[in-house]
Amino acid sequence: MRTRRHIGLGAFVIIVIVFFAVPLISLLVFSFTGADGPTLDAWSSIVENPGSTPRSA
Amino acid sequence: MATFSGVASQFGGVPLAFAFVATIGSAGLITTWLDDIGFDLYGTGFSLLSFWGLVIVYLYFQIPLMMIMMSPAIEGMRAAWSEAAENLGASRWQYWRYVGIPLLTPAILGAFVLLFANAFSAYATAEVLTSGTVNLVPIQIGFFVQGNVFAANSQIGYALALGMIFVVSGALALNLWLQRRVARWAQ
Repeated sequence: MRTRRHIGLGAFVIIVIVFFAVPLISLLVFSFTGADGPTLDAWSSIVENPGSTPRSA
Repeated sequence: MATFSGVASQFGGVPLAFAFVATIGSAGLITTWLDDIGFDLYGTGFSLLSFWGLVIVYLYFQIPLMMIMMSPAIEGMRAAWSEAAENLGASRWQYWRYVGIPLLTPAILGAFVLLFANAFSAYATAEVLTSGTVNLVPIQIGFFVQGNVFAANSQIGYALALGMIFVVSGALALNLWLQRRVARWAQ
């Protein structure tokens, strides 16, 4: 039988997992998203010109 | 869990700042999602670029570091102690209240001291997030090192750096003293 304590512990674990996972998921999502939607531009740009940064351009 | 803590505790600096900008920045994933369901996160006065925003970001590498530092102390607690308490009629709560937590207190305080030293000297995350608007000591030192001041004021940077060394040394000394107290019952 699930007690209130177990539910509280489960909720705490989920919050902790979400807290640590969401920033990584956000990075993943934004690295594949451009102004016009999903794109691989960022990754292909890094592969083609690994030394090129906005500052050096 | 130990592996994850090891990785997450090292995930600091600019990548972490960027990850949180992408998450709860003004156009972040969570901010946008909350906005879609009718909750304006930034309307509450919250800002990622403020002190409390920094606290949230720092928790990302401080919590795993705390877990790494506390796990030896928790693993050092013997099953015989809880069994003895149980035999004497103590409940689970009473065991933790009168045995577990008092035994762990020096380890917890020692970990807090080390976390303070770690957060105190962190630079890149705060600098990227706040662009120097939150006056942390490492950011102020960075300001002087970058030469954004008159030469006559550069000694303030040296003084701040020396002050930091004193503070961190004091924290480490306190941690050593607490570790000796932990070792007393861990033997």
